[in-house]
Amino acid sequence: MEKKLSEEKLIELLRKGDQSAFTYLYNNYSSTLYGVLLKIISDEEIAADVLQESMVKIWKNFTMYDSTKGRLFTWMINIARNMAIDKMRSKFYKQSSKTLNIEKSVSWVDRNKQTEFRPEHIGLRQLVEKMKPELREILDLVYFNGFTQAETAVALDIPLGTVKTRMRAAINQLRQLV
Amino acid sequence: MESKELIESGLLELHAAGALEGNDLLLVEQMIQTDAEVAAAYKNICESLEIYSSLHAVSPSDTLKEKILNEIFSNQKNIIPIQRGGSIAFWQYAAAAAVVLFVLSSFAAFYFAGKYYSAGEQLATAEKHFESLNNQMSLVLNDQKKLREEMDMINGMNTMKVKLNGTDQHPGMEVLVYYDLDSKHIMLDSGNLPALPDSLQYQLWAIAGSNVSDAGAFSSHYASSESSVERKIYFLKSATTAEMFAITIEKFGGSPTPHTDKMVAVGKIKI
Repeated sequence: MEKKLSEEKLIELLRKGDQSAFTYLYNNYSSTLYGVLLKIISDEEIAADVLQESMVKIWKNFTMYDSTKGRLFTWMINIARNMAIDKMRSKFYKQSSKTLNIEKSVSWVDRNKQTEFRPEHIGLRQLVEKMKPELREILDLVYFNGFTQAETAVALDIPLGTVKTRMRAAINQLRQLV
Repeated sequence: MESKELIESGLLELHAAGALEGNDLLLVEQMIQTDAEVAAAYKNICESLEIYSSLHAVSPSDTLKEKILNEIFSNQKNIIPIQRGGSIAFWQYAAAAAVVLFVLSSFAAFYFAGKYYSAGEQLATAEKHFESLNNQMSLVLNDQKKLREEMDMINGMNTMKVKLNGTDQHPGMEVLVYYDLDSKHIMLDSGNLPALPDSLQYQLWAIAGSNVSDAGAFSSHYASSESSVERKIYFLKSATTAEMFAITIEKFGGSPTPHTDKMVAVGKIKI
């Protein structure tokens, strides 16, 4: 059983390039990163590649992490998430036209929503059952599919202001449920 | 924008999910950095998203873990010495570079020194060659000058060519004397006169009536070191008058009067 490390201590060790600290980081956070990647990329092989790329990037660019700008876990999730979204967008672009077509994007999003439910996702299943569908929809669209505020407004056919209020409501409900 | 207004706007939530662009993004980033209340609210949002993310967790296989950590740490082995032991690595590289430079410069030094000495030798050879050519040129010019003088003498309008024949004691001897009637200069071609011992020399005499004058002593053969071509032509003393010429063997340097018993050849001017 690994000794629990505080975030501060972990950051300090990672800045020094401590390999055991990185192994600790991997053991504690890789499953979340991999889960997020699989949520965005349904193909396990590509998701595994992106997980590797993300981990290498986190390790190599650790000195760029600024704790005043956000939490370590958020920083790591964002790295993995952005890499996966970039991958899917480039893949999506290759498969369809060269320009961004929102309708096609949405249909791609719909396809991705059919990601299988895994047995370990009991907590998620309970959450999804309790969360308002339109709030979870906007949350996933923005967080997992990388839609900007403007793209979300077009995709869901709602005003920009509504994107903001609905996103805030989604996070608030999330906070209450988890 | 006020902190409270920003917190309630939904922009922090959109930012946490990575959906902001342009001015909104700049504004929110700045407020998070400068406003503690906004920063705290943002942190809460991030934590909620972290939890939401972790609900999706799927453990990667051990094979994948091994692959990823190997990839990272094997690269790390290459990076660590530079990052951690920067100064040591630098000196190691500097030392290695210095050794390489030393070896290269040593080779270069030997190479160029060789070239230098070789060039020096070549220059010396060239200088010797030039000197030799110069000497040869001097000899050639000298010979040419002598030849011209001889030619001038032989072709002179008033030059008499006198053949001297061997006496009874020296049969078969043939000597030529050129006598310029105007300048009175005398040139002699020793012909087939044999060489004499070092203590003796031939001496030419100009005879006019009973008057016998010394026209100069000469060795039988020209000293070859003074000319590239072995010659036996001698410019001797001038003779104010001459009707005939005779050659006797005298002591080295000549005698004031001839020893007629040692006469070798004689010839008369035929006008």
